[in-house]
Parts: sequence; C-alpha cells; structure tokens
Amino acid sequence: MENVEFLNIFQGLATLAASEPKVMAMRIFLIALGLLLIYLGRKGVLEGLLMIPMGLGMATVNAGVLFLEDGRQGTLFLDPLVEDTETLITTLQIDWLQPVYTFAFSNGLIACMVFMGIGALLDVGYVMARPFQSMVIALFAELGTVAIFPLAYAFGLSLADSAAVATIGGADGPMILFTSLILSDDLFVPITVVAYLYLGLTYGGYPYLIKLMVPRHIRGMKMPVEPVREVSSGEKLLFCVVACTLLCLLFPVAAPLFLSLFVGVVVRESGIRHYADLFSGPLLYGATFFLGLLLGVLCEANTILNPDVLILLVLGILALTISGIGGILGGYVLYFASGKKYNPVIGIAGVSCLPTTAKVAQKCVAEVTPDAVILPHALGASISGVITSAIFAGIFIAAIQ
Amino acid sequence: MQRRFKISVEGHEYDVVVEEIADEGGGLYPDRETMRAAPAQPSRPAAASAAVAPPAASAPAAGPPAAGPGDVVSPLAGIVLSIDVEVGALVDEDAKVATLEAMKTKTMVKAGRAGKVSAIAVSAGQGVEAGQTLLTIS
Repeated sequence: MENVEFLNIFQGLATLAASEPKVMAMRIFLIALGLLLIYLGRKGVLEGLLMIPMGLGMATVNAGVLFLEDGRQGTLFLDPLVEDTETLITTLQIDWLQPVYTFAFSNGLIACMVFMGIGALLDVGYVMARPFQSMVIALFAELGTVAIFPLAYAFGLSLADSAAVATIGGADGPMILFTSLILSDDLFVPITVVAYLYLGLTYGGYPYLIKLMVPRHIRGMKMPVEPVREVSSGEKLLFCVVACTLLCLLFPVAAPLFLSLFVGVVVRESGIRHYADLFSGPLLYGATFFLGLLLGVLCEANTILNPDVLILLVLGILALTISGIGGILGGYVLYFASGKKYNPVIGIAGVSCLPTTAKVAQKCVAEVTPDAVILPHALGASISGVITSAIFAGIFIAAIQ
Repeated sequence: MQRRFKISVEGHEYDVVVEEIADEGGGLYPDRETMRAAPAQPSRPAAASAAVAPPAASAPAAGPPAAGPGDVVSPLAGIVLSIDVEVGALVDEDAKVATLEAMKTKTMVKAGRAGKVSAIAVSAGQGVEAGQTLLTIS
C-alpha cells in the first residue's frame, strides 16, 4: 500500500508503470530523442532555433503524463484530438498550450506567420533579375515532390497522406506543415517533424550530392559577369502585388500562403520599417518558437504510435534527395542551353530551403574557385523555389481534398 | 564548426579552440543585413560612412558608380568584412584583395590584374552593392 501512495505523488512514474509495454518504451524513447535533439541543436548539427524548443517539448510531454479524472492518462499540455465544442472549451481552460494549438496551429496560422517573416526578409530582386532561369531551376527542383507522390501511394499511404509526404520535396518547413495540416489529420505531426529533421541535415548532406553529380572543373566554373539590372523597389512591389493576386486567383486553397509570403515582401518594399521589423523579428521568431514547441509537444507516445512513421523516414530523405538531383539536372539543362556558361551547381538552390541551399551552392563553388560568385543566381533560384513549392501545395490540396 | 589551433607565442605553446561562426550551419532564415539584390539600403551604420574613403567614391547615392578600367568591383551585394591590401601595395592577378560577406557566407575578391593599389574606396563594415568599386589597381 505504501508503494502505491508513493507512486500517486510521482504520477509521471505511475503512468509509466501503468502503461502497456509498447507505450512505455515509446515514451522513454521519445524522452531520449527529445534530449538528443536539444544536444544536436546546441552543437549546431541540427537547427537550434527549432530543435531546442521541439526537443524539450518532446521530452517533457512524454515525461509529464498523469492520470486524469476518469482514470485515463493524459497531459496538461494540449489535446489535439478534441472534437466537440464543449470538451474543447473545457480543455482550453485546462491545457496550457491548447489555446495556441486551437487558435494558431491547427488552422495553419503559425505557418503563415513564419511566411510573413520570411517574406519580409526576401529580396525578390534576385528573381526579377533572372526570372526565367530562376523558375526553370525551381521547377526542376520539385522533382522530389512529383516522384514521391506515386511512390508514397505505392507504399500504401492514402492519396492525401501521400501528397502531404510529397511536399517534403519542396523543402519548405512552414509549407509542409500548412499542407499536411489540411491533407493529413493523422500524419501531419510526424511528417512535419521528419521534414524539419531532414531540412536541418541538407547543409551537411547536399555538398556530397553536388560533388557526386558535378565534376570538379565544372563545379568551379565562374559565370560571366553580366550587367546588374537594377530593380527598383517600385517594380518589386508591383511584381509582388500582381504575382500574389494572380496566384491566389489560380490556387485559392493556397491563398493564405501566397498572401502571407507576399505581404511580407510588400511591407519590406513599401519601406514600412515598423512592420518589416515586426515581421522579420518578433513575428517570425515567435512563430518559429511556438512551431517548434508545439511540434515537440505533439510527439506524444499515445498519439504518435503509428507504423507509418517509419515509412515517412524513408520517403522524407528520398524526397529531398530526388529534389536535389532534379535541381542539379535543371542546372545542367541551363548549362547546356547557355553554351556552358551556367554553373549547374546553382541547381541545388532551387530546392528552396532558403537560405541553406543557396549557401551550399556558393560554398561548393568557392571551394574550387575561391573568388567565384554565384550567390545572387542561387538566391534567385531559391526564392523561386519557395513560390513553386507553394504552387505545388496548391495543386495537391485542390486536386485531392 | 570548432577548430583547434596550436599557437606558440615566444616559445610558449597555447591550445586555442576557435569557433567559426560566419560559415557555420545553414541558418534557418535568410540573413537580414545582407539579403538585398540592389540597390543598397541608404542608411548604413554611421561608422561605415565616416570611413577613410576618398571623396570621389564615398557617396554611392544613386546606384553603383561606373567602374573604371583598373577598378575592382564587388561581385555581389553584401558587407565588407576586410580589405586585405593597403594603398601602395603591389599585387599580382591572383592576390586576395578583399573579403565580403553576404548571407553569412564569406566571399573573397581577387585583384584580377597585377599592379599597384592606388585607391581604396570602401572600408570594413561597410555595405556595398553589386558592381560597386572596392578599390583601384593601376
């Protein structure tokens, strides 16, 4: 009897002891994984901005499980499965993260806020200086998205889940979250977590892909100096307003994404300093923090115990690899089309994942030729990549939902 | 990325661990300071504009000034990390004359021609545009 009372005080241990072995093992595994993510985030192997809140969320949510009134197990964090309004209102008053989840996460608002922040950081002048090249590269770099969709379906995922997984090929975190929230009720948490894990690895991984596909003498190729066309902020503003309106007209399901991204750019180019500072500072990093924390907290042993998660690990890395290959192939297409004047390494930047891939491209080229500069080209491709990923998200949602 | 160096000063050996910040990791988001195609934002920190630049090149108000024959121009928009030569220095074609930073990535600029550095138009910490003259070699 004494023993039981002891466990009643330390309920986290009691729930651990009372759960079935599978859940128990999963909880311990996720606590360990959370701690590992914090470690890797701190070391700079993975992106600390996301991994540190995510890891701590993951570890604590699996540690802090307690007995609820009716004998069920649960946490005081949030309940993603609440359905009827009355329970939701009760939960909102008990679970501390439920308000953020209900009002900002499940509807994609956090993803959109991240997009506003990214928009405020983007200079679309890079795209406008070379619109054609940028878009070609970006389209090729969606190869992973296109290839993984049928592959995931062949692996036995549903059509909607397959599309959600395929968006990993677009390599854009908030976009993947936004799309999978709409398409995949069961798998959006593992899909987004897997995506962010792998996106953090692209900086280390893509250079190998580049070295494998592009021989050294081509890799170090300098691009001919071209006159820098000056794009005024008025032109950029006009471009954004027209592109945003047009894209929303074509893909209303992805309109929140387009509006968020372009409103950020518009604010930047309008010179509204206060908004631009707000977007690219507090809004971006606040949203990123809660995105990471909530993703971690959603990795609760009871909800994440799904055999499909293992398939996602495979499909996710495939999607990013194939997109990288596609991007470099696009680079080669331009290389030959331009009479060997275009450095194919830039192709990798089409895998949006801004700004990582653009920097990877520059780094790989500068390794061979230290004074070769391809960063402006790469940034143009990368920004186009964000836009094409949003277009693909729009197509998927419209076609499947 | 952490690197270990062994540095000896007057016979004493020191183990030094240097953490490289500028080139480390992908960074989740673009760098705010250097994400701009052209032209540069007008208001750079005051320290930069009070640099020792010759008057001819210190006012890049309306776009980059046209580069002359001996001018070494910036290949991209970014921030000057360092100017690696001095006025009067003799350089050969392959000499590194400046280091720029854009999007937290370092880029070096080579002289491009052999000669003597006759003027330096920018200073460390200053923001530059693509095509802006960094220094002149004659």
